[in-house]
Amino acid sequence: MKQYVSVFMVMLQSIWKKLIAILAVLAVTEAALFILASRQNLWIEDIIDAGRLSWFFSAALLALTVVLSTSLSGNTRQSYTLQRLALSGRTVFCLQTLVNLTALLLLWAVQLMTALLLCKIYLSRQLASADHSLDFCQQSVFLAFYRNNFLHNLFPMESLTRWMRNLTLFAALATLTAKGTCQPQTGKKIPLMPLIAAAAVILSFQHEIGTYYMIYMDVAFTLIPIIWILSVWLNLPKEGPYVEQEPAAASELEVME
Amino acid sequence: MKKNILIISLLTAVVLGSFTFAFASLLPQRDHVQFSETVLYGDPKAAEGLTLNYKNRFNGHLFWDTTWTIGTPAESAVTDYQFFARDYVESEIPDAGIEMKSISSHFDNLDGALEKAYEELTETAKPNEKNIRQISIADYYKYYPVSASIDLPGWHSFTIWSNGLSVDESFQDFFRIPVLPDDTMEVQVWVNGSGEISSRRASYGTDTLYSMDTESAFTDDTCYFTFTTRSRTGQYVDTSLIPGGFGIYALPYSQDDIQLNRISMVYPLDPKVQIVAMEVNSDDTSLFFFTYEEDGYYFTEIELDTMKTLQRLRINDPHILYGSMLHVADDYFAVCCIDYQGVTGYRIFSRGEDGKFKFDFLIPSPSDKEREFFNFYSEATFAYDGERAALTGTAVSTSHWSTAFTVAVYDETGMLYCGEYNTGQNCRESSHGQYDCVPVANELAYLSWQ
Repeated sequence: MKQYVSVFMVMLQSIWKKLIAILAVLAVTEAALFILASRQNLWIEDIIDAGRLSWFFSAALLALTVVLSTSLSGNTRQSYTLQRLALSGRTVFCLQTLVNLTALLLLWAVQLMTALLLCKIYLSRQLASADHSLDFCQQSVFLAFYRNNFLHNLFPMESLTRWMRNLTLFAALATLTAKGTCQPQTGKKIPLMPLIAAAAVILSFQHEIGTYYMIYMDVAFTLIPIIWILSVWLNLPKEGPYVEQEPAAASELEVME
Repeated sequence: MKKNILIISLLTAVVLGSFTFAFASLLPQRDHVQFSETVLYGDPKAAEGLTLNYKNRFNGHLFWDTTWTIGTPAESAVTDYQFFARDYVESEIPDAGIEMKSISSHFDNLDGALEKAYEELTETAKPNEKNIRQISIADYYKYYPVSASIDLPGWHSFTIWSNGLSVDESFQDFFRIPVLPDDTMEVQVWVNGSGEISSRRASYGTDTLYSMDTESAFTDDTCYFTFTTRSRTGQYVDTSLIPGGFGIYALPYSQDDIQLNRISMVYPLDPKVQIVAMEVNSDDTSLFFFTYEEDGYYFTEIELDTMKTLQRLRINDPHILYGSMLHVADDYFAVCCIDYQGVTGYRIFSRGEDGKFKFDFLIPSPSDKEREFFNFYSEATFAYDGERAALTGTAVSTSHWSTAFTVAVYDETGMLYCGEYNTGQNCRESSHGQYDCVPVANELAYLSWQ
């Protein structure tokens, strides 16, 4: 157990600075744009669109995908440490997937909190305002999470199929980025599959609330990530070490140590 | 090691805490429907005890059924909330009963009597054009080719047809009404580029004399209906060939069976009487109907068990009685009329201690000043407690697509109060052109006095 926790932390250390930077930039930028858009006296759901929150979430997701896919590639201190551990490739892959999933869930959570808090602050100001040109009520934030596609996909309330879709998409993205990290690579080349999975998340976050057609889209966007996850897991070597780094590069690191 | 576990626990707490916070702050709002009140006229105390029942929906996903009594705290509103992940299409149009027409547009399925008319029209039609002609009905039919559409709980014309029964044939067999000599109908054909008929139909024309209007009401096991007999030019059609003669007819039905061959006349009426509206009371024991007769409008209550007349009441001198602006409850009815002096208003009648209805008072049409915030509305709802009458109206200050509506309270002295009520959910137009949060079936709030 102690060993797993240590490995988890080593993996986390390789991304945490970049992760914090992405989350901070996302929250601060979105807050600024939301405040700017809210000067126009709009409905909550319209401010979310006017503030381009979905664009910044997409950019943050793509940036994080790149960070996760390349976190242990190259000759870093962390990758060298992992090579020296007596852990199977499968175990390392599982832990890397868990770290990546944690990072992705953090992004999701920070985005949700940023949007929700901004909406709640805006509503409380509108309810206290003397200007009643637009109707607002205690339900306005709740309704905004149904009216705005991005908000609804970010937090699908009681739509269970959409929760399933989101969770499988994030799990697939974590798996595919972990695969990119744990496979032998040359330089900092970003594998294609994690980017496709990130694009699937971005695309699915534009889906409308469950019309008849959209229910099938939810099912499709749930099944495809499951296939991705299974294909990665079925192709993992059962035994063997973590990453087979190029000998020259590894020896260089030892000298540096 | 402790530091590592602390960091991992912190990350888990941030993720779980965020989602928990979102659930805790958003989901309790789902049934948090409250009315705001804006006083437009008078004292709101006049409306105390009036309960609003407002049903609205967010597309086909969220359904709210909110009940609140005016004069109580806004937080005391109770909302029955339902969520449907997939679009739930609720049948918003209540069952209409039976609607008969003197001319069926479905001639293709009947006896082919109009084949000759269609052939003649096709011969003179130009390719890719529509050819229309008025024809004498008597040249093709001895009796009006009556058709009927049925819309009863569990039974609709299509389901009846799919059960191998022909509604039109059954009604034509029963309702043999000779065609008026000068009556006409319209037939039309569309001819394609190769000179063949692409579609054809028959309908009422501009010169059609007799267009049948039907009124119906139904209980759990019987639909009562009748029809108008007067033509546009004041002639009356001959109803003597109808078994039992003219009157109110009954069609027995149940959830499993509809007995088209058991239509019967159950309450005779003078063929010169024109029916205006028909309703059944809440416990299916009485049938109320309004008629226009030689000397004015009448209200009649009959007991359904025996089909005996319980009361026949003349409604004093209305020039026009609007059958569509009629509110009937077990103990009262209110009907919008224009009298011979041109005064429009709701006449309210209530049941006295002897069980008979009597005239209580008139709600006059809103004055010019009152019209700035309230007006009569054909889809209005109504409630009466024996002293105070309440009516809903559309909100003047907002667009039609809004959750706002007005409530006016009257007694015999006139308007006591008018207020605007709004859930504030605001109705937004979706990308499909539909408005969300709109009231179900476009009804304003249902009213009842506590």
